[in-house]
Amino acid sequence: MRKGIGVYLHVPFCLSKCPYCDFCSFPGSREEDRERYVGAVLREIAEREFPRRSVTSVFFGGGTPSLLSTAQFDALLSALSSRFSIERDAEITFEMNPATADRDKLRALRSLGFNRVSIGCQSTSDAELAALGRAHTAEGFFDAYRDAVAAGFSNLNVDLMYGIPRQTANSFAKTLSDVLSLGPTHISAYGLIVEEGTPFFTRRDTLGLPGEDAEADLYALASETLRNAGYRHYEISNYARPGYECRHNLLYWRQGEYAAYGLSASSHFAGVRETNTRDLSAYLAAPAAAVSERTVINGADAEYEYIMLALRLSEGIDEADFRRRFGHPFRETYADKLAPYIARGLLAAGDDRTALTDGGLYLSSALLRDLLP
Amino acid sequence: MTEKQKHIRNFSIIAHIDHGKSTLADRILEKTRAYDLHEMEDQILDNMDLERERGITIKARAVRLGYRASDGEDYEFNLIDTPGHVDFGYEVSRSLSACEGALLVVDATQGVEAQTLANAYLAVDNSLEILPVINKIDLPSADVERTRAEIEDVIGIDAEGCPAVSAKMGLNIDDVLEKIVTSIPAPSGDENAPLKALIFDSRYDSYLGVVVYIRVMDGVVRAGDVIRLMSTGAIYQVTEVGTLGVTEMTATDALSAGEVGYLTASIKSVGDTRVGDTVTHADRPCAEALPGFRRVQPMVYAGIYPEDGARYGDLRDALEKLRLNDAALHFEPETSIALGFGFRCGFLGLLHMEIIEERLEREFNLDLITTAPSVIYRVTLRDGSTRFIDNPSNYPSPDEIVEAAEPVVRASIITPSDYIGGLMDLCQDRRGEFIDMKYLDQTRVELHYILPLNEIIYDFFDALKSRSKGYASLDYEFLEYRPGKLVKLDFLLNGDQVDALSFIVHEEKAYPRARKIAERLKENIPRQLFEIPIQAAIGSKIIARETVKAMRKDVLAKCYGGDITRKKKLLEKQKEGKKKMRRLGSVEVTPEAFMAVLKLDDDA
Repeated sequence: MRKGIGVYLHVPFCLSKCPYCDFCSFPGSREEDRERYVGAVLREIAEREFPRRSVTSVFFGGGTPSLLSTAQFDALLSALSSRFSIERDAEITFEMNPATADRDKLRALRSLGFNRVSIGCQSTSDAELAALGRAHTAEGFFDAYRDAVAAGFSNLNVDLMYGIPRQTANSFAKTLSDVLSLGPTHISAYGLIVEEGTPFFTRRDTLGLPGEDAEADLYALASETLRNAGYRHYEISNYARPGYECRHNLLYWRQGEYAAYGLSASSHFAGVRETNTRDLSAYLAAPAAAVSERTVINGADAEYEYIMLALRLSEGIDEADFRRRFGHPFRETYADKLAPYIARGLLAAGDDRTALTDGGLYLSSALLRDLLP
Repeated sequence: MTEKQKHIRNFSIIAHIDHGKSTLADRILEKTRAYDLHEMEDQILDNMDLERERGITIKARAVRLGYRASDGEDYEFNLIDTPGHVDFGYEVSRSLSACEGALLVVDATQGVEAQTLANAYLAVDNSLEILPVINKIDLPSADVERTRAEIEDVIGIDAEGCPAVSAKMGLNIDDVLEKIVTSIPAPSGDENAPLKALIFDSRYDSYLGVVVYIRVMDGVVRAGDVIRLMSTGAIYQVTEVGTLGVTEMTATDALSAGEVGYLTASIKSVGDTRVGDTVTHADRPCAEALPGFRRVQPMVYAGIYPEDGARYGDLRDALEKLRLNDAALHFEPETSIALGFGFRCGFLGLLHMEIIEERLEREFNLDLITTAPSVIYRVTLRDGSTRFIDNPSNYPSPDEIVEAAEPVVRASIITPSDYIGGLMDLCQDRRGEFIDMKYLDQTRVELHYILPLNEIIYDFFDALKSRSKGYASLDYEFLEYRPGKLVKLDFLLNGDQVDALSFIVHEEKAYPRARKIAERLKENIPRQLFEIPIQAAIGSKIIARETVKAMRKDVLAKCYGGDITRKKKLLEKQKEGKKKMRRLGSVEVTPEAFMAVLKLDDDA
């Protein structure tokens, strides 16, 4: 039997643009903009030819999907349901900015079938939230979290950030303990990346960024604290209570297959990745013909992507799976390149699987560069 | 003196850098209508791009000009250009010895400078008539009378009535031309004596082979003659003789005593025609060669390596091409554990080295790594033998050495008196031995020092300029070898010695330099997966240490479905960036690290 697929749906609207954000998103949208966009996505769902396979995860990401109305969520999810067979126990997630939370909407979404919510908290320090230009306060996050629980959500992710301007180990530790006290099933903790082209990049020298060493310390702090609290550090930036690893994201990291709708969204089927345009008006004009990049991933490229993604996971590369996909063993094939990392304790190589150690995950790019074809 | 000789004037133009030598040459060329004005590119005598860019003349050239003087007679001028830098002192002196006179150009706003003096002395040594020309009189700060007085007081030559010109504006150039006729002696020499001609330059032409620039002192040379080059004894048959135009050469029947021109004789390399050598006839040789010939010896050596090891062959071809035209460039293959295959190259001085590096990079599109330049040390060993060491890697171990000696130079620095203190500190710091100080006038001073060459080949000139707001000028010449307490300083990265970073230093400088270089290396070694100790050592004794901490973060924090292509590209880009790095054993180093040892001035 074939494996289930995922479905991603991109909502490119935000209340405001965060100064570090380089995602495809537009601040200050009006209701009619969103309505037009949702109409276009519905057309794309109806017209785009994706394999009709059974779906094990749906993810509404952004942007800020929670800006959409209940009716719009309903229309989109219904369209997906009629296009694919969504399994009964599928993981259905939407991302939410605390500033857009609304108890009634949350309850409505829960009854539409959404069973997982991912809340963009980032920090429980108002000073840090202000530094990040976020549109909510710590209290706003706590309220949103409680509202989501009250609405019946039991599978919740909280997004955190470290490496925030002027962030200290103490303030991050407080954020971690504040969030742990809520007991979410899943926590993502991302190091702030100052991407070229963002306002933060222009001001990077005066922002008070903590720097490489401090950031590495914060990363280690998150890993230790969360593991002590019973979470698995299952991917570089992701932690979950056992059994609550994000199923949808695991598809990405295991080179699974997924459909994707909306602006800039990427799908992957049978070794072909298709990415939609980032140009909103082009997308609105022809949503089902908006693929701007089509990449056939085969041979060495497929193998490399597999390695690059699988090594993000603490479970690493499964020898049997690797051999089945590529016809040769992983460890033996790359023995020379892996050896120095094994010797330094950055990589653990067993008979069945090869994985970066806790210490190795945060230095993984070095190995990935060495492994490039 | 023949009637022909009476109408020949052979002269050079000499000057301190930037005093307007090339501009004056252009005006003279223009006035004598040597070539079509429309075709003129400024400063045509400097016909290498690099020379034009740097505003200096690197290779001497000569040109024959026609001039009708106010006495109604037609004269033939041979203007022999000279290289304008201290590195090329020997070539200057040979060019001068082909002449009877020299125009000494002095900037009316600057006065006499170190190279003005050095060049004037060279001209005097070669018994030349010196004709001072005061230039840049169009500038508001020009002081003609003061400059005139300075020429008389400092150099000791008569400057009364010498031309005061603006070469840039073309002012009073006729004056100069007339003075050339009246002040500079016509050549003498016996046409009937055995051939004796001086080689003052040569260049390689891909059709003709080597074109040899000569001044005939005695006798006559014709196409078909069999000639001998006296220093090597090599015999050639002359294929062509002729005169040198600005852009073309004109074949003639003969060149006779007093004349300047060229000859070709199917000579394959400029290395076979040494500047200063004497050309004579094989069957009727002159009794003795012209005096003053010596083989040009490189003073400074450095390792040059291709950044990309695969381009070793290209580098060799490029060096061979450059050597066709530059007899002073020496090179031989060398292998460095750190840098792979490359060449140990010998240069006349640091400027010569920079020019070669720049030409290799620009004309041959090579990316290079150059090791710290070294002088040649003379080492006497326990077994009584003497060795000359041009590569620090080959420096014998201390227990084998009885005596180590380093080349020292006699340096002359001319500076406004305001900067004496700073410059004396600088010379002191560079182990200089003070000889004397002379006031040239109330505000300008000439300092004489004996300085170790290895103290001035790196950044001395820059330091001199920065401490004198650009006003001080420098000239130096090799004096002798002097014994000194020299030690070899080695550097170890992660415990492994890096041969390309070793250099020789005076004992008393070893500690501060070791510390400074270790710091510089630290800046040039990116953090890696492990901690990297940087150690400086003399023999087995560690005298300085720095540490590059291990890298803590090298990660793609996020990678979801839409990021895969982008993140993969990012990794590829990072890998491409790393290719520039040099791998020394287990350590990656930026190519700049090898230059880190060069920049030593504490003020910089």
